Amino acid sequence: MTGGTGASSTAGRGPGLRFIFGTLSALSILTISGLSLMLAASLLPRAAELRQHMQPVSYLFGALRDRMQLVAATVRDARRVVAAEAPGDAEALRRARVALAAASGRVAVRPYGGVPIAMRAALSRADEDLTKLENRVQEVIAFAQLGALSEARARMRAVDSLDAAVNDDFSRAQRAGTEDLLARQAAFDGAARQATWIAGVLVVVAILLSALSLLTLQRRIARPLADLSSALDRVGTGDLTVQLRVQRRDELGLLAEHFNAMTAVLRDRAEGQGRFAATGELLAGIAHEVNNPLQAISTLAESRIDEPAVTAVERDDLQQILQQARRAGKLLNGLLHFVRPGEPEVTDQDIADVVARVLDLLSYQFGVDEIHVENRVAASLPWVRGDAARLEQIFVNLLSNAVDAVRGAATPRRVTLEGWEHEGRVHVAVTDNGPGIDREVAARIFQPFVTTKGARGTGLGLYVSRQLAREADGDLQLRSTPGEGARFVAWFPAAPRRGAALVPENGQAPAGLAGLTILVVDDEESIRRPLTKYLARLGATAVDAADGVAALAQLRLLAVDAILLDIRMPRMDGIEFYEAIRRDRPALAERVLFLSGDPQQMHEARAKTLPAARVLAKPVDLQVLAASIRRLVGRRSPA
Amino acid sequence: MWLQGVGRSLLVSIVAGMVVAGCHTSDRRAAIGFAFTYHVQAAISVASEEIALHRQGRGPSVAIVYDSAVAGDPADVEVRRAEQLAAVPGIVAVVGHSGSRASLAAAPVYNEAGIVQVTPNSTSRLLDSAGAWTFNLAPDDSVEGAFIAAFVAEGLRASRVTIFYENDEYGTGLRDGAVAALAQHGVAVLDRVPVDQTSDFRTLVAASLTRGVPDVVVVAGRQLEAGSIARAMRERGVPRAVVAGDGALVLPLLTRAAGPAADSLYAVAFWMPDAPDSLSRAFVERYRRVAGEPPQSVDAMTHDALMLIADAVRVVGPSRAAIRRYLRELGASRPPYLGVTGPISFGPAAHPRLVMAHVVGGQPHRVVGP
Repeated sequence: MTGGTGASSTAGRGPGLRFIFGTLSALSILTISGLSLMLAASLLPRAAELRQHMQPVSYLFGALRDRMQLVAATVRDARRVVAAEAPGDAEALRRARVALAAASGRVAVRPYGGVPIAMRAALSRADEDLTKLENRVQEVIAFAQLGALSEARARMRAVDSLDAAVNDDFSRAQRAGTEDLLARQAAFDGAARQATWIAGVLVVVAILLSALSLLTLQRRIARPLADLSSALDRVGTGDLTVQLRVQRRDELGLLAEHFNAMTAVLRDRAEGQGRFAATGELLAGIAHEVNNPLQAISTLAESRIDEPAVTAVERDDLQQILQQARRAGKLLNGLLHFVRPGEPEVTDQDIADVVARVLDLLSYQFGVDEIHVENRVAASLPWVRGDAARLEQIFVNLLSNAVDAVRGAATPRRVTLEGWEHEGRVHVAVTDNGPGIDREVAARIFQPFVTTKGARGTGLGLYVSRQLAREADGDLQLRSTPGEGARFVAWFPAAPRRGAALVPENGQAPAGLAGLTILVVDDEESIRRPLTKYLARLGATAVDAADGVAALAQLRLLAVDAILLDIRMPRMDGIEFYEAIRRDRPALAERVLFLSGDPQQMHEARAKTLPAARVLAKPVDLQVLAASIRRLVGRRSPA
Repeated sequence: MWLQGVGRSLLVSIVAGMVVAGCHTSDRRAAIGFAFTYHVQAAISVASEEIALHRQGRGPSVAIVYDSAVAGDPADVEVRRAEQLAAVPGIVAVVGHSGSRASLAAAPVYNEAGIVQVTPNSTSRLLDSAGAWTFNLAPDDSVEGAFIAAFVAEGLRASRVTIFYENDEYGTGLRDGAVAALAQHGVAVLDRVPVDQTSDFRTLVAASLTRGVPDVVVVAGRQLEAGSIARAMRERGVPRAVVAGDGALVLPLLTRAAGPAADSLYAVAFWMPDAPDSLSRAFVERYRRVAGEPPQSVDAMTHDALMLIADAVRVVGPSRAAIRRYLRELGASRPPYLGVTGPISFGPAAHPRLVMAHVVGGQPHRVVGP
C-alpha cells in the first residue's frame, strides 16, 4: 500500500476525535447533571424539611385552635350561668357540659418530630392550661348545678385567669412558630440564592465549554473537512497534484494521509493511462495502415487460389500467404480492441471467443516464457452478457498474473483454462502451477493496492477484475492452496439465448452473387481491384469508386444491390457517404457493408449511426464477405 | 400549686447520675438511658446488680444513665430530657418516660436518632404511631379499658357507672377504652367528669351524683384522684366500689388519699408481688433487700425494661441497629424474653398480663388475673 506523504511524518500525535468527543460529551453531561444535582441537593432537602415541618405545625395549631374555640364557648356559657341571680337553667348547664366533654381529649401534643422546641413548649403549656381551664369550668358548672353561685363566681375568676394564660401561651406558640417558619424560609431563600449563584457560575462555565467545543470542532473537524471537500473538488476537475496538510495523527489526519496516497496512486495511474491511450492512438493509425495492405494481400491471395493456372505448389504458397495475412489482421484487431475499448456495450458474448482472443493477444508471451497453455473452454458453452472489452480485460489480467506466477517456476510451466456451466452460471477457471498465494495475502488479494509483484505491480489488477466481473452480475474468486499454484474462477450469468451475428463465421461455403450489382468504395486501389475481381468471379457486377463523392456519382448512373464501403477516405469518408444515402435513399442504406481498418473508430461520436452488425474488420475473409452480402440482399446460399 | 409542681419537676430533673454495672475497661460499652420517676430507683439498683452478675467474660459493659423526674413534668421538659439522654455517648436505648404524656413527648427525639425507647407503663394507644423504635411493655388503654369494663360488669355486677378521668393522654385514652367496652357489656355511663390533682373532688362528686347515682365509680386517673374520689363518695354517704387504672396503684399514696374509703378501691396492675413464679419471687427478695419493702407493679415493669435492653446488648452487641432488630424479632424469629412480669414480646405476638387488685388493709390483693 502506498505510504503517506512527507507531511504526515511531522504531524503531532494529538488526542483522537473519539477522545475529544468523549471529553466534550462527558463535560456536557457533568455540567448538566452537576447543575441538576446541585439544585436538587440544595433545594430539595430544604423544601422537604419545610414541608415536613409545616405539616405537624399546622396540625398542632389547628387542633389547639379548635379546642380553644370549644372551651371558649363553654366559658361563655359558664359566665352566663354565674352572672344570673338564681341558679342557671338545667339546659344551659347541660349544653356547657356537652361542649366541655367535646373539648376534653382533643390533645394537642402529638409525637411529631421536627417541631421546634420553643413552639412545642408553648403549645404544651397552652394545651395543659386548656386542660386546667376545662377542669375549672367543670367545677364552675358543678357549683352552679349545686346552687353555690358565689363559689361558682369565685372559681370563674380562676377560669378568667387561666383563659388569659391560654391566650398568652397560644400567642407565644404562634410567635415561636412564625419565627421558626421565617427562619426556615430564610434558610430556604439562602439556599435558593446560593443555588442560583452556583447555577449562574455553571451556566457561564457551560457557555465557555460550548464555545471551546465549537472552536475545537471548527479547528479539528470543520476545517479539515472543508479542506478535504475542496481537495476532492479539485480532484473532480482533474487536478491530481492536490495534497492535504496532515497536521495531526487523529482520524481526520489519517483520512488526509489516505487521500494523499490515493491521489498519488491516481496520478501514477493517470500517467500510465495517458501513455496507454497514446499507444492506442498510435496503434490505431498503424492498424489502419497495416490492415489495408493486409486486406489487399489476402484478397489477392484468395482470388488467385482458385484460378486454374495456379499450380499446386503456388496454391500452397498462396494459402500460407492468406493464413498469415489473416492471422496478422486478427492479432492487430484484437490488440486494437484491447487498447481502445471505447464506450462499454453490453451484448451477448461468446465466452469461448473472448478467451480465444485473449490467448491470441498473449500468445507471444507464452512462447517466450515457455509456458504451456491448455484451453479447455468449449465453444459450446452458453454465451454471457457483458462488454467484450471488459470481459477480455478480466482474462488478460488473470492470464498476465498467471504468467508472472509461473515465470520463475521450474518447467514444465502450465496455465490451464477450463470452462463449465453450473446452475445458470458460466464459469471460467484460470489455473497455474506457480508457487501459489500465501493464506495471509489470499485474504486480502482482492483489496486495492495488494500485490505480490513488488514495485512492478499496481495492486489494482485483481481488484479491477473483480469489479468488472461484478458489473457483469458475476464474480471472481480465488480457490488456491499455498504451494500448489493459484486458481482463479470467474463466473457470469448465462445469457438467456445464444447471440447471433449478422456476419457469418468462417468456414461457410462461398456464396453465389450472380445478378447482383455491387459498388466497392475504397480509396486504395490495391483493395478495390482484387475485391471487384473476386466479386466478378462470384457472378456479381462489381463497380468501384475511390471515395464518397465518386460513389454518389456512380449511384446516379447505376442501380446497385449492395455497397462495400470503406470508412476512412479522402474528400468524403464513409460516414458522410452513408449519411447522404440514408437521407436520400434509405432502402439502399440498409444494404451497405462497412469495411474498416480500425474497427474501434466505430465508437467515435460521428460513427454512432453506423450499424455495428454490418461492420467487417480488415482484412476480411472473402468468403465471409460474400456470405454477408448474400445475407444483406436476402439471398440463400447456393446449394 | 401546679406551677409549684412544675418548678419542683425541673429542679429534680437536672439531677442526673450514672450507675455503671460491671464497668471493667472494655472497647464495647453500652449506655442505657433511664428517664422515670425517682421513686423506682430501687428497681434500678436491682437491675444493675443483675446486669453485673450476668456479664460474661469480656462481653460489653452496660451503664445505666438516669435522669430522674417527677410525674407531671411539662412536655417541653420531657423533650429536653430526651435530647440530653440521646446525646450521651454510647447510648443504645432509653427506658422511659414516666406515663403516656411524657413518653409521647419524648418519642420523636429517640426515633429520629434511631434509639430504641422502651416504655414500662405507658398505655396510650397514640404510642403505637409514635415511631418504629418505640416499644411498649404495658398493654394499651383499649385493652386495659376492656379489662376494667369486664371486671365492673362481671365481677362487681354493676349496671350504671360514673367515670372520672384525668384530662390527659392517659386518662382520656383509658376513659375511651372503658366506655367502649362498657357499652359492649350493657353498662350505662351516667357521667364523665374531667379532673386533675387540684380539682375540688367533693364538689365534682356531689354535682355528679345529682346527675345520677352509679353502682360503681371508674377512675381513669392516678393515685391522688382515685383516692380523693373514693373518699368524697364515702363522705357524701354513697359508698361505692371505685375501680381505677394502673396509674393509681402507688402505695401508700393511694390509701392516704382515700383515707377511710381505701378498702373500696380496686386498681389494675401489670404484676403483683405475690406472683408465685420463681422469677417474681427472686425479684421480690432482691428488691426487699435493697428497698426494705415489697416492689410494686411499676418497679417490676421498669426492672424488666432495663433487663430486656441489657440482654439485647449481651446477645447482639452494643449497636443501635442490632438492638432494634433484636426487639423486632422477639416473639417472631426469637423467643420472647422471660421477664419478671412474664414473657415479653412486641406486636401481634405480645400477650400482656393484667391483674385486678383489691386494696385491703393498705395492701393490694389479687382478685382477678394470673
